[in-house]
Amino acid sequence: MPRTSTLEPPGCPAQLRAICCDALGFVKVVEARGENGAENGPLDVVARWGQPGAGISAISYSNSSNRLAVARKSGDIEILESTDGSICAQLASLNLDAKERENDAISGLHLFREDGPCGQSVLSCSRNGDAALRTFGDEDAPSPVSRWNVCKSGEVLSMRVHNSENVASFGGNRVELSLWDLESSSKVWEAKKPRPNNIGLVSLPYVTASTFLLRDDHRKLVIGTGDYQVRLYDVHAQKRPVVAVTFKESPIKAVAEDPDGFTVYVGNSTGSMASFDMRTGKLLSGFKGKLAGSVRCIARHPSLPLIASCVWIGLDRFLRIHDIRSRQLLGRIFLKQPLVAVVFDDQAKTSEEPLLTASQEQSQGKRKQIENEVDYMDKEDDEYEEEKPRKKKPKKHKKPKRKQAGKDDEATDLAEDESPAKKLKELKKLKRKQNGETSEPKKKKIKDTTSEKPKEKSNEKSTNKKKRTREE
Amino acid sequence: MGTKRLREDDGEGKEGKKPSLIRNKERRSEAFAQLKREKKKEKKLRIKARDAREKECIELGEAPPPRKTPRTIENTREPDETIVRPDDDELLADIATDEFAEHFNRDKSPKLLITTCRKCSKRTFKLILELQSVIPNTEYYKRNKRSLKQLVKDATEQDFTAIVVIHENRREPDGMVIVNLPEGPTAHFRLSNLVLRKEIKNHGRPTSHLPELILNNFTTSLGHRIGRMFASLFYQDPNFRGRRVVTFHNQRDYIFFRHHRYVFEPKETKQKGEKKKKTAVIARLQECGPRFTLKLLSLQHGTFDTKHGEYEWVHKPDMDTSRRRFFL
Repeated sequence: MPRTSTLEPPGCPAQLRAICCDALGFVKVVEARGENGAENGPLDVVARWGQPGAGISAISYSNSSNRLAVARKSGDIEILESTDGSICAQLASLNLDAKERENDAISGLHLFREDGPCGQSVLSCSRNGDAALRTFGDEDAPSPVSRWNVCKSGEVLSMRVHNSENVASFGGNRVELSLWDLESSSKVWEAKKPRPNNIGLVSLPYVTASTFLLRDDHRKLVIGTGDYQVRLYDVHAQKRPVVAVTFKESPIKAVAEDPDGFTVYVGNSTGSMASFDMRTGKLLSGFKGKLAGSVRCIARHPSLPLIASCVWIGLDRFLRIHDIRSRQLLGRIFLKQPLVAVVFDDQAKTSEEPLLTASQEQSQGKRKQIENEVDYMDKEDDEYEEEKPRKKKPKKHKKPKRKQAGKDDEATDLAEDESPAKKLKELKKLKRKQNGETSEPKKKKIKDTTSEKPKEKSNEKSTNKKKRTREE
Repeated sequence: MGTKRLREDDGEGKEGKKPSLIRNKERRSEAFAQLKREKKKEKKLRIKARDAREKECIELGEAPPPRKTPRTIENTREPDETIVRPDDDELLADIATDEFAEHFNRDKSPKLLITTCRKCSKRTFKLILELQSVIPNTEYYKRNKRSLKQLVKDATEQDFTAIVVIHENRREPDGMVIVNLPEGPTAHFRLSNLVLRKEIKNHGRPTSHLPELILNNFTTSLGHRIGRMFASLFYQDPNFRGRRVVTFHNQRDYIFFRHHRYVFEPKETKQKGEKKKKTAVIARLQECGPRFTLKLLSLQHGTFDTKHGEYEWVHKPDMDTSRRRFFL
């Protein structure tokens, strides 16, 4: 008797919360549901925000402020609370002309950390190269703090802001990769075209995806090109790419870096996904599965060894979660609309029920969201004050190999354990402990400013993860 | 080695040993034929018994026991979460804003450009002639040495809504590319089993009435999209008086294209045991026009651009691992 049932993928770990945006204008929150306290569970859409019609062209997520910036096709930028999707701020499009707005969608977006150098602001870059740094919130000056043109011709397809929030990279179709300093709005570095090949042809720049490789070093960039290459640039070494690898035969649509500092996940427009070691340029592994459509966005979970990929499959638009180490498909969910970007939300699971039908969502889901919001607000204020003094401690994690530093690490680790434990004792669950322990040693090697996220069942310390921004 | 010896359990299961164990061809075929005859007899008896039971139940006034359904590949298709549901509001929102919405809102009427690959043969030309009679409002342009990208630009300027390119291999059309025009998706199909009008027995001649369109079995999201794409090639107002119908029937990811003329006629039927003749209205079909099979190879977002394009769906051999998995 032939096998007539499908193999169900094993579930995703229960802390998983991913936010996806699609081209129709919806922002969907997907969580892994563990049944009856099971560790792993299937994915479910937990909330759906937004109205159809205002398609999304780019998003940016800020872990520290727990906010999601969303750029719509009309050029407007909305800043939503990632807990319930309510709009905290809105920035109107800079283009006043309606026609211009249609052609000039925002292709890169970055939401700055609230406590960072730029404060409550957003950096947006449109396809024509119009980059603007704007503040939002209670301040009186809504006009852009700075606005400059990245390129004279061509389209900007990819923009990334480094973790330090001082430097941003821009690149696109006929726009060579360049690094700009955000404070002075000046170009710091620009890549050079690769050498002509044996026929004498020089390929035009066509950057389709880019990412900074290391959290603390803005000098290393990895880009994916429309000419099927994955390139590593080192700003201090040379203007031409240090490592260039050709991957299959279709433009690379998404590039995501791994916190270990050398692995990069790459997805192309025919649905192939692979990981590369950028030190050598070697292909480490491919990801199998029914990936039939263009991989629009890859997000690497900040602490768990998972990656999510937004894949477009015909009209069957799937969000897939893979385990990095085993490359196994852990879960996938059909999200009905062409997906634009996905971002991992490192917050704890909320107690919302999965969406049963779209019609029920608006009545049930929203009510619960409001209920939960009230809880969050109380704890948020308390936790925020705690974060700042603790930020200094992680700096000791820079050189874990030294014995002295190791001891310090242990000491600081204990200290870090205790203070959140005291505060969040009531809210802790068993699930959280399991993952909390495994994720810590990874964080030791990487220098990052840890910040505790206040949530009902907040589990891991979320690292300041750069947002995943995707262009249309 | 094991086939020579008779195992003990062979005798238990069925009467005698399996015919496949007999090595002598003549004897083996005799044994097999006998086995078949016996199976047929058994089946007849079973059916008789079942009918008798049903008759009894009906006479008693009870509901007869339900009949068993045969297991088919379509029955046992792998459950697909992308199957479209009619009450899905997200789908409705998506449909309202996708590339075909203008056609379905009757804002645009279809205008098709048919062309071929660069060098093509007689058979392809014949197919194009026939397609022109099937699909209304089509124009044929020679391909010459134009690139498809250039063709797309030119056609958009001239307000075409779609381009259909017939590809050829070994003097036989074998591929079809449908590019929807302003920014629409590009579908690449494999064309096979082409039967032209003259090759069909008792074929009919199509008129110029606008045909009705039948789209069968496009269940998944991808299938729904492809179905809408086919629908956008035809006018939205079929002329029912013309009694012309074009069918795109999807079964197991193969799309069968048929073009018929139909007529509703009263027919007298005589049933066994009844003296009176019953008149029933039946539909009679006469096939006209070409007959071919399409299989979707890839669906690309945007107009034709194999180098830098983004694919919505690409067929990969990885997908064929299950015989019960279909995508349209």
